[in-house]
Amino acid sequence: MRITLNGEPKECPEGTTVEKLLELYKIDKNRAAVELNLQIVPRKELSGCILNDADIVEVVTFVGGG
Amino acid sequence: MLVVDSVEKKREDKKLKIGKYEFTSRLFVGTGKYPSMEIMAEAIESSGTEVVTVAVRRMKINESESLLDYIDAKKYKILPNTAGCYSADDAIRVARLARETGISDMVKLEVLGDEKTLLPDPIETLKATTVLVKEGFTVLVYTSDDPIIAKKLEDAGATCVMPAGAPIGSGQGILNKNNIRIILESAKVPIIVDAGVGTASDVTMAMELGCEGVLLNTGIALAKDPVRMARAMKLACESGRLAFLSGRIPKRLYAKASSPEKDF
Repeated sequence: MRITLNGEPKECPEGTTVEKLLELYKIDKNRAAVELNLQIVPRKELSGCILNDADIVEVVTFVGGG
Repeated sequence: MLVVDSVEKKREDKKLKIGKYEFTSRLFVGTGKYPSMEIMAEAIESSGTEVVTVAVRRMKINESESLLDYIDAKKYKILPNTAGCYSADDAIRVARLARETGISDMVKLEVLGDEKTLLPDPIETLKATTVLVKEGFTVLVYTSDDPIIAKKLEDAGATCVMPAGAPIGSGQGILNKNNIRIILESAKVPIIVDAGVGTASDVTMAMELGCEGVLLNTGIALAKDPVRMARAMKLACESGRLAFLSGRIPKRLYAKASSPEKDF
């Protein structure tokens, strides 16, 4: 299936969870927060949240700022 | 006079308390715009700060380097900001995301009015403050130096109110000392000057006025020698605080001799 990860189209297998997606892209979940279709996915739900086709995933982290 | 009493009461040598957190250093330092991550880390160390601000942005997939590799979240309290937000809804979204990282429940709330001035939008800022306070955030709110809006933000439950000394990144210092003084007179929450600081004396001035702290980024990050400037800011902050606690002499129009009159 096809999802959008941080604005880019990506392919991932059916049944992929958000946690699995993060692992796939080597994203440290302890330094990130995830939105699925503009809804925050709570940390404890990352492993149980299964992605669907056309989902839009946004992963944010901290960068330099004042 | 009641108003003077309230500033007098602040002259107690206590640690800075922001919500449930206590800090010895009263300097908050940003992490943006440094020549390199290494210089940033060294400058932060040199500043003696205990609180560093960060921004929340879309993660670059496949980029291995992370800001958090250079800041020990156990040593420093991370203060995520909502920089770049121009509406209450947008700032609330960013604050919620920042909290969901599990790294910090504090937020430096900033809701800006326009890109040219980067001045805060007071109406949207107040709206966002009300919502985030209800959601249990420790809200440190960036605002203009307007005493009325500062009071309203305090009344809305902000843990700390942070008036700008001058526009963000302008390095102009404290443009309206009198407004900062008026804000300090009625504030029951810590007042931290945030933005506009250009050099050490700006920090000292804010602290001498009785502010509880200073937050700055560009003044250090874009100095020719950020590490040395960070130390200057640290000393300036301590000096200003000590001068405030000591109670300065009143200004006089005419001279007053320091030595006894000559008697021979």
